[in-house]
Amino acid sequence: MTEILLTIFFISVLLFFLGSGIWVALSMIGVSAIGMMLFTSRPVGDAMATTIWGTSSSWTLTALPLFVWMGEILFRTKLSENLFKGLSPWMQKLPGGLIHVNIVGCALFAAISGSSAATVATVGKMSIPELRKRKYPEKILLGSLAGSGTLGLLIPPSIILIIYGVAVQESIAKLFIAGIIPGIMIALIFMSYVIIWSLINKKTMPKILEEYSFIDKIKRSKQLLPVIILIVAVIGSIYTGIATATEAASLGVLGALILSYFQKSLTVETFKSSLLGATKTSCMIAFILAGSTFLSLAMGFTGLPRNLALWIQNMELSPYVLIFVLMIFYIILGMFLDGISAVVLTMAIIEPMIRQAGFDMIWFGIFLVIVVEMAQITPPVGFNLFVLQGMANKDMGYIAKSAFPLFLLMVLAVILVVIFPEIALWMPEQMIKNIN
Amino acid sequence: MLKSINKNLNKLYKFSGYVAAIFLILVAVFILIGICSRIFGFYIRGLAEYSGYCMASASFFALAYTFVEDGHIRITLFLERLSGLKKKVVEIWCLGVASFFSGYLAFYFVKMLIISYKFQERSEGADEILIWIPQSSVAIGSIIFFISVLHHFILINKKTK
Repeated sequence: MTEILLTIFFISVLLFFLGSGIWVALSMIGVSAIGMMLFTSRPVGDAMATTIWGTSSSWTLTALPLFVWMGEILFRTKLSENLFKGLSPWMQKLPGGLIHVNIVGCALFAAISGSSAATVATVGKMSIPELRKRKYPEKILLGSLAGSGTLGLLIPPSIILIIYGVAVQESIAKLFIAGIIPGIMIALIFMSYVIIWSLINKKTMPKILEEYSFIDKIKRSKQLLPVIILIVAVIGSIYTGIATATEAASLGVLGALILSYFQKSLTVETFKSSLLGATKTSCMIAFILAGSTFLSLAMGFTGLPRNLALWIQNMELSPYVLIFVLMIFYIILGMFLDGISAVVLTMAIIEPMIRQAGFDMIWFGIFLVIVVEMAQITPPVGFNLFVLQGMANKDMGYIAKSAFPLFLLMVLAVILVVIFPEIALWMPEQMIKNIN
Repeated sequence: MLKSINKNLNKLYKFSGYVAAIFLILVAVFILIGICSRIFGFYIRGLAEYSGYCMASASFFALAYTFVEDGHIRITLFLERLSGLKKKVVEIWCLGVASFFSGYLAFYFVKMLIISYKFQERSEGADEILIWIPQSSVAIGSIIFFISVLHHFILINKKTK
């Protein structure tokens, strides 16, 4: 009985720390220290230092700052211009026209950046003013942008999949590869939605004005080619097993530097700001990851994860019910937390339960990322909404409302991934066959 | 007097951020050397470990810099709704708790460093390096982080209203 009370106390303190605005990483460290003092007589501080040192200096984690840096470098090139220029001639004949540039642009940028806020910002920088100029309806313009921005988390490289991989000790390369098909699938679902929407609302859609010959189209997209080669090289080297995720990341940094040199956007200033940006972002993530490993250690002593796993097992829930409950849980959590914190905070408790229930950890990673993605476009805390609010000068409620249909489409995507796990698992299985 | 302390501390945070950035470059360099070594068939002991140490050093040296640049994640949903004195009280609470635990963190990293040094412990990896050498950057980084949090704790207490 006292154990249960102590556990409740432990969780309450954690929620209080987080809610009152103490930095997430320090909340986790503080609460874990308090928890360990309550539950064991082991020397707390020393255990903390060794655990955090162990995670922070692990080789797998090095993929993180490198992928962040690669994204930061490319973010400072003329990429958003080139994305719009290169994609628009191909998209305008489709029903829905240039709205598809948002979706395809986000999917492409997602393949070089691991964050959805950066994806929205890069694509939106060009497409919002350009599409407004052509009088596309605001609702579908902003909604499609907010929704497709979430692809940044799913299509490799993905920061959140690196975090997940380190936290549950699964192969980051496999997780990356598993994200490809679901990512493309979601992009296609979004595009179908835009096509249907624009056929229904034909009157509000603008007429196509520009005509391009085939040669013109090729000419305009030429600038995109180096980026596409870079994407194929990075993901391809992981898929074929030539390089580990970390090695692919360092090659990606090198490639990004070369690319921005030839586009003449590499100056001392952009180099410095991309490097410092990457330093900050990866420090923030490494710090909460450090906090979370200490939290896992402390959680282990409370017995909560083990008991919860047993409890779930005894209930003999069908896996579908369990997944459904988890989906609701993460959507609610995601309303108040950013994606990375949501994953990192809960893995200590959820992991034993998922393993006990017999789910594939790679598959669960993909499921988790899609659900966390959905949280990026739900108020009150949705990072894509924050970014768009600033860029589009619209209030958050409006953007959230226009993104809501895409939220529902993502629910559909989750259901598909749950019913057909092969969507996520087929590619990694092929990869293993290739390597062996 | 106070102004010059503030100025020098801010310089310190920035400096430690730059040190972190250099370690980040080193991470990339070590991994690139690793790729070259595989292609050209030479072998350097412990490259993977070195890049791991650089990663840890980069993360910890950047802590203070990231903190003053407002880069660490926190939930501000509640804080945003407050203003004036109430907001100040909550900020004092946050920074107070943060000062305590960042101090706690720094204390135990220094302790870990001292123990590693005293027993001349070596890494268990292929590098067999004296482990206090990379651990020292984690200790120094966490001390600077503690200073930066404490600094802001003092600043907010001094602020009128």
